[in-house]
Amino acid sequence: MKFVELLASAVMLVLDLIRKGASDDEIAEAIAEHLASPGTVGQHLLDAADRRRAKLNHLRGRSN
Amino acid sequence: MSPKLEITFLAGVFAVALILLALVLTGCATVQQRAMIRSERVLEAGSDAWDNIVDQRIVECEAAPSPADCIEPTAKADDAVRVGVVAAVAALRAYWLGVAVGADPKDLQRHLAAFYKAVSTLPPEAFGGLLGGAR
Repeated sequence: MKFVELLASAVMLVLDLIRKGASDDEIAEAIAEHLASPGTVGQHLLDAADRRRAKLNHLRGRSN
Repeated sequence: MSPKLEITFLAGVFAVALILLALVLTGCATVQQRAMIRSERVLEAGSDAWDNIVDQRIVECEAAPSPADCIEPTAKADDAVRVGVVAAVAALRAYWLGVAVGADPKDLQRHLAAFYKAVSTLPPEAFGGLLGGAR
């Protein structure tokens, strides 16, 4: 049952990405991210938050 | 109908019923997972939009007489965004880990609720696309 759910999820994800015109690499990355390595989902969002904070702190530092 | 044939027939009906049930349950789970992936994509778009807002504000504040005072409200707003994004990502990870280990649907629903609660705190000018699902 778990295998069927994961397989169906992967197929639907691939179809969704193909519909959006994603490349092979993007599709492979999305599947790996969500199914094989769920603990790394959203890492790019955390990285973006870190970059924003660094930019803001840089301006704060330059101002003081 | 002989007893052997009858048992075979009943076993076949039972197997078909099991397969249909599995298909229905799989379909429900897949719809939920697709919704989560879509929500994550909208969250990414919101993060990009917030990046643009912050960048624009930084440019404006660099030209201001007191850049520190100018950037402070944006920096505070970004602190709140950071808290919301971290909470949303934690909920996303808990959800996908739950899917990977075959967690109870109630646990998955709890992670979904945590995700939508986290994104409901994000500024609508950047993350507005998520708020329809959050409320």
